[in-house]
Amino acid sequence: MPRHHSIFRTPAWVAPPVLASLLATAPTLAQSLWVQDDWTRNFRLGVQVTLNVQAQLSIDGVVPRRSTDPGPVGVPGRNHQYDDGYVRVDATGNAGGVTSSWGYQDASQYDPATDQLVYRSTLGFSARDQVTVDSGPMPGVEMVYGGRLHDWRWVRLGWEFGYAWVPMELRDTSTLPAQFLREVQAFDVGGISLPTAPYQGGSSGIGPVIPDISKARPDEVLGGFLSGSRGLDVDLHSFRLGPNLFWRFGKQWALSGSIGPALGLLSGGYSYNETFRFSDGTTAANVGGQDKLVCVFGGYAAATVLYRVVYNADLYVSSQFLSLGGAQYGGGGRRATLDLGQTVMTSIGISWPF
Amino acid sequence: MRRFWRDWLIGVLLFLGSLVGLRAQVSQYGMELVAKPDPARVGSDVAFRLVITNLTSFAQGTFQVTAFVEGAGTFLSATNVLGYATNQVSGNGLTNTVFFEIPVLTNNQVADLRYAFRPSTHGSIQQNIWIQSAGTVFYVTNYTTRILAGVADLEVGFRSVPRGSLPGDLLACTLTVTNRGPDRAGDVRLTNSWPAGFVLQGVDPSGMVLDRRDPEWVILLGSLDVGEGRSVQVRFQPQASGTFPWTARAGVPDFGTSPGWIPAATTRVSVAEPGPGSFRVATLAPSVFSRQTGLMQQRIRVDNVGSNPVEAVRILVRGSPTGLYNAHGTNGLVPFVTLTEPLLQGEGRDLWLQTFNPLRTPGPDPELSGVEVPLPGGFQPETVPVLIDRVVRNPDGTVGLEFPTQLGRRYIVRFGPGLRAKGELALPVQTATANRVLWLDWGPPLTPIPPADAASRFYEVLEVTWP
Repeated sequence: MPRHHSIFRTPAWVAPPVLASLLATAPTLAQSLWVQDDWTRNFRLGVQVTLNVQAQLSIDGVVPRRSTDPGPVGVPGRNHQYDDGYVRVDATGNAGGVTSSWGYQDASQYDPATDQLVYRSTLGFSARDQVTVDSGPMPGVEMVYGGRLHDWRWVRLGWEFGYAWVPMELRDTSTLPAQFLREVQAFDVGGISLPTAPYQGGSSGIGPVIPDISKARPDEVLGGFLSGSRGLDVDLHSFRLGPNLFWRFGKQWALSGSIGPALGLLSGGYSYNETFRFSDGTTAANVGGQDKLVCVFGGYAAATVLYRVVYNADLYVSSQFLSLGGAQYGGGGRRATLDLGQTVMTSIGISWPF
Repeated sequence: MRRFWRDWLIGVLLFLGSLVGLRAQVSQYGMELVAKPDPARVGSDVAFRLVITNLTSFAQGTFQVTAFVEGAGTFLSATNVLGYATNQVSGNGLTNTVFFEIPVLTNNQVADLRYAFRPSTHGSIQQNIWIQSAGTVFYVTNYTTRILAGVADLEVGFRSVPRGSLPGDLLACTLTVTNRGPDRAGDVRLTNSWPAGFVLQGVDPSGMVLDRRDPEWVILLGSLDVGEGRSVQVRFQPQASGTFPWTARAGVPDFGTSPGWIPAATTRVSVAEPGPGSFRVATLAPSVFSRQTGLMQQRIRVDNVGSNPVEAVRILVRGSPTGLYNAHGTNGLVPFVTLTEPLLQGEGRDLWLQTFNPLRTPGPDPELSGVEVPLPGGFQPETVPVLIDRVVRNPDGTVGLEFPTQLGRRYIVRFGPGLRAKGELALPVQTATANRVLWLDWGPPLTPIPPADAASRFYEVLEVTWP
């Protein structure tokens, strides 16, 4: 409860709608410079822009591919997924050693010499790349709750607890030269008249069928390019708690400062949406990623300027320096390090004292 | 002054009339009440014309007519060229009292009284007419005018009426109802009446409420906007042979139609008894698995061992545990294919039977028999054409058509001897199992004779959109 008695005592919900109109008459809102006459608690809500977040993204060496499974060679009744087609188990369980659930992408996959369909699956690639990606300004939201510990005339010692949410996307879109390793398997066609490519057979068991046992062919190593994007998609949830020094230096103006420890929770992780562009002109998609929850610690320092626009509403502008530990992502030749050590956050919003 | 003498004269005449014992009776007035339009529609004006003729042989003074009009609506106007007219609305607005007065209605004179309403609810307008003359009140009669909720001319049509059927066949026929307006029709009902020998197996799409009271049954079609049509497929089984009329009538409760419109259609379903033909049907080889189709295929032969040529032969396939994939129909629980090429005495044909066996191994040979049937037909699905990507003439004499498909959609091929010939449908309808289909014409029973034996054959691939 406020310690002063104001003729403007109205319900709290009235404040936002009349805010604009009251801005013009703000100078008439008398405000004591003594903080003991002010409200004892406050809640701030604002939009925030986060700057100076960086990530180091690197690919180094052999990167295995996880998005397709070519399946075992010489084993019947197994599913096979390739870059350029599939041979799966159909509704009959591949009765008779054949399946209707098969498909291929291009006529060049048929080898008339052996009457076989040839499938390829990229097992991995090797490339080398290291880039530092700057996030640029990233929007988010901030909420702060504070209270009073002690008052001295124009200055108050208090505390504040803050939460901020910032979605972050730091991606590398460069096209890289790469060497690809492809596993090659083949299936007998069995003398059927092949439907024209691209063909996608169903699993009903009805339709053209081919034997379901794959035959190994030598692996292929070929050059090409890796295009698309790779990087971090994470959400930063930061929490901070610390003492707060509040100084009312004008009837409507006040300055607040706070410093203390901070904690960050990072959800999301490393993801890639790439295309393998092989030197033989074919392509294959490579999409995947790995999410995890990372907890980082550090500290913060914040300064806030507040302007009283109505008896229980302030506009505020705040700047915060947040330093949190780095987070590591990736694996298997891919690596990403998120640097949150010198993060600057600027926010603007409304503070409700009560 | 003239009015005084006129009233005086009327009084004298009435006095004289009473002296001679002549009293006006209700039968001594000619009366006619006409509503236009009849029936009327909610929200549209209905005009009433009440014509009363004085047949009493005497002039009637202070002639009064009262019409009690019961029914929700708005009174619009009333006219009386011989006098005046007033209207009084009841407190609840459901009754209007229209009052007409004519100073003198001379002998044989006609009172032409007109009034108009705009009904607000469907149902009826009830009118009680009273006449009062010379202090005597006559209750004349009451009239009812039907008020329709709307007018919708519903057009009923039959499609795919089966031909060449036998008793016990599972048949299907399509009924289409189209609203030709002028109003949107809600709760359209299709009432069917057919012979007692037909057994209703079902209606597609399923889920329609079916009110069944043999020999009539009703399909509730829901609402139809103006110009909108809706089709239903009726599956049924005739129990006896003969030619049976089937009438379907569409309607909407409290709706009317334009004058002369008949919202009904009748078709005749012919069901024949098997002909006297005699056949020998036998398998030619064991069933084998086809990698091209994923089906078991077995070659059979049918020979006409009777004394007469036949128009068509139906081969019944019993004892196949996995059914018959290329069946043309089912009689009872027995699937069959039909050879639609005439078979002369002593002549024979080879046919392929297809079954889907999940084990992809041969099963026991089916039990085969043949019966003479009329040439089947009548199936007329709604279709859209599909472009043929590739045509392959194979060394074994078969012809392959490759065309793009969508998994789960249904396709049929029409074939004929010429480019412009309408052609026949190669049954059965096939459901796509992949993104493209390689359809093979190997001859009977898919087509009457193998393509290699045909002088020419043209194909058209169609996607079946209904039924």
